[in-house]
Amino acid sequence: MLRYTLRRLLWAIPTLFGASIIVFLLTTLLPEPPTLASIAAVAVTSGDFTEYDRLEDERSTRFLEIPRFLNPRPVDVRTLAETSVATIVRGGADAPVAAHTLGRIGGAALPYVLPELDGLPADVRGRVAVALAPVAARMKLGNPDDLAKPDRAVTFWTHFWEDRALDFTEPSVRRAVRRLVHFGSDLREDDILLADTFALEPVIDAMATTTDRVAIERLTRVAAHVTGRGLVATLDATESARRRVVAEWHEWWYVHAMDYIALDGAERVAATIGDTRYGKWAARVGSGQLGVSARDGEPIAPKLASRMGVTMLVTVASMLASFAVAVPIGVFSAWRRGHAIDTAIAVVLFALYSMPTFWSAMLLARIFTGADALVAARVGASDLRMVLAIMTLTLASLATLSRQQRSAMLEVVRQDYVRTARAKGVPAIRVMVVHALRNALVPTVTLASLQLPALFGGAFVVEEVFGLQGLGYETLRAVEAHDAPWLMATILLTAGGTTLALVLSDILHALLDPRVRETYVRRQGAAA
Amino acid sequence: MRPSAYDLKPVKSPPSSDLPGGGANEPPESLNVRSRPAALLVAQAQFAQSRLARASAVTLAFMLLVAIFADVLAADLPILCRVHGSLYVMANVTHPAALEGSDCHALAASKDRAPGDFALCPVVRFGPNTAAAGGETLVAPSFAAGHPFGTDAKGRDVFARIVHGTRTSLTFGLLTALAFVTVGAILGAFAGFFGGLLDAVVTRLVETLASLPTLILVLVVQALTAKPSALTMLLTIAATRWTEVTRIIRAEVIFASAQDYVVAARALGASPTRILWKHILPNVLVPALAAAPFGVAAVLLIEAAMDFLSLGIAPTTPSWGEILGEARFRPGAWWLLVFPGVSLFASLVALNLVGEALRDALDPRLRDEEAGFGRQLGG
Repeated sequence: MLRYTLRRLLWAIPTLFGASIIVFLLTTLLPEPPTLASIAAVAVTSGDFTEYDRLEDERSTRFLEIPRFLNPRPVDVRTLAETSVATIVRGGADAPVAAHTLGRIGGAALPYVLPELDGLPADVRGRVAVALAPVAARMKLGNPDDLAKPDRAVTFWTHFWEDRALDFTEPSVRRAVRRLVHFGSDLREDDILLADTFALEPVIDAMATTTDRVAIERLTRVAAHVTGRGLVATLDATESARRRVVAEWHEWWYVHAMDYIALDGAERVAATIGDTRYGKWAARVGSGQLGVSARDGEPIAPKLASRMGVTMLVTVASMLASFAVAVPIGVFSAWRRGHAIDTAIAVVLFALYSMPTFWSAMLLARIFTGADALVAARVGASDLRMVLAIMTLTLASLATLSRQQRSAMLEVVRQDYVRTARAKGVPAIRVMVVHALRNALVPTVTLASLQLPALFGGAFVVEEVFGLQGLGYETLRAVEAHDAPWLMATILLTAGGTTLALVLSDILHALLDPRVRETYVRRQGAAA
Repeated sequence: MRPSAYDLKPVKSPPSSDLPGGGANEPPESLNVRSRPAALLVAQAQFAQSRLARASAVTLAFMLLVAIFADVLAADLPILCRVHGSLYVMANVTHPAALEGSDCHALAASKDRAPGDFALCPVVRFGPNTAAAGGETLVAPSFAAGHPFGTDAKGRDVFARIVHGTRTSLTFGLLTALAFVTVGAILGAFAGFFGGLLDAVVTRLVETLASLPTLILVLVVQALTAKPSALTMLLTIAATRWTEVTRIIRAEVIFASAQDYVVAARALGASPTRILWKHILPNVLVPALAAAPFGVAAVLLIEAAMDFLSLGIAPTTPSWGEILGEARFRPGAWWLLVFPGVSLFASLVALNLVGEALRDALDPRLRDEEAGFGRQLGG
């Protein structure tokens, strides 16, 4: 049995993977911001890169700058720096954009730019050095006027690298950051600023490991300074505000890290899959980070959990209720097969089967609570509305289950052992309930769990009619507000839940019916 | 729904062999490629026997007529009229510029009508989007006011909206079902016939898509697309619903491939394409057809639910779901709840019954307890 369960669970993995790809593809439906190339020319002519940076940030937050599924040439800081320098060397229209990018990635790019400076032709050497002026400004070094002059800038950066190349190594910055955390002082803070963005990785890492308020203030201030984002957790901020700032920095790092770190061989291979839109998205979702709601900026996961209760209650309760009612009805109509009552039951069930859920919900609301309850979420005790919602869904799934029960009963009744029991004088009703029902229950149990997804979908509409504040109600509000993160989370949850229900129903089936297990294992064995 | 891939039903005999009536006397399939598929003939005969199925087919035909002649049943301009000496034919459909701003009531009762002027008006003299004169809203059903089904909160005639909504729903339902039954049948046939990698991919895809409830997926897609429209909804529904058809057809094709007549054809050297086209497809045609009515019913339901939540086809388009959605906020107006609800319910009942009848006809030897509602209700 364990073997069967494990096998079945394994088979669910490709399904979940496929579902995640489909949900991911849904994100591509979202309207995309304009491409960077479209705005680059404007930024170059006006010399104002504010809008360009904003757009760059927006696009990379949605990972639009990396390929969807496979990234054969992942771009790390080294590649970025080298292509930027090459573009500047080549000159042309996009050279100013490359210069701007070089200025933005700053210190992290220096180990790949400055050593190459000597090898460049004299005229372009100056252009590259001038492009680095913003970096020097952030480091609070040099004279801005000097750095704008090509020959002076080259001299400055050459000296800079001669003096400080040793500081641009990972152990060195890590040590500096550790010292800043433990014995913070303005002097040490300035020391780290000299490494500029090269120190970002240890700085961001340190934010997670320390809880010291002073250290966090310093760390966020450093990060804010070198990236130009005004996100500092000041000393007087509340604990939750501080946590939020740190979380935002981690989020930012998750999106932008590739601009500031260099990959070694193994990492580069991993990045061909990991550094893609799907990879980034799936890794984030897989670790339970569902993002924040676009409506109110609240994190989605806890909200989802709090709304789940109502929906799960309605769904599961109606499944159980429908099972409890359907089985006796099925047994009864099988027992009275061909009588008028059997036909009458069939007619009623067929009507229920064809009834649109939202219509029956509204009719029930009108019958039981009077016309007023039709106005969603206003009147009526919550309990009554809950009961009515469960009732609606029960009626909706009743037909399928009791028909299944009826035909299973009729099938079983023809078996020899039932006939034997009858021949030995066991009363008909006892044969039905004791001998036949046990075997006829199996398919109905399986079918009941297969109904879960349909009931779940039905719950969305029913909640809306009865004004129950569950997942469906919240999702419809999200639809109105185009709250993409919430919708993504909901649909992922639904897909996961459905797959799980399917697996559970199969396992349940195998548990109840040993023949299934054997067939399955044999089939798998034969296939292998 | 078929409970699982490995259910333990006894193997059933091929639909085309050993048939009552004409089917058995026909020459073998491979010799008589021009004849209509035997399975289809039998299905037809079976179908004709069921009273309920006939009644449902009549209901559906009636709804189709309503959809086609919606403009004759309810429109704000006359079907045929002469105004100031010029004759307008089918003004209710063409809406000629000359009659702009005028309507049936004015044309029929106008005092300054020239001699020889006349107007032949539709049954109900309101279009689906004409608001009642005098700003009256929520008129209860009354023949005297000319609103047999009343009006909605915007003063639009409910009868007109239901009649035109029939057109919306049926068009949408039929188009969507056509799309996914075609795609589903083709994919199912190929997957079942060729097997191997194609089969594995299709099966995985079916299982994956089946894990996403259609209604929720449609909701999300409509919310996320820049311009949600009837087309995006159609595509989304079709994208998830083909799986059901594929599942059925694939199983049928696998079953048919193992039959003697296919083996014989293969032994005779028939190409795979020929076997699939001439021998297998005719036998799986009926299951594909039987899936269609259920498909249309499912689409109608989703479309109505989306309109009910006012997230469906454009809000001005008349539809049943839209009226029902309005009923939520007009507790007193029972006519907003009853008339569109009954229309939707009736069409779902008819579609389901036709589907059941087709499915039962598909396999005449199916025992009663395995048959669906249709057998039991139809007698």
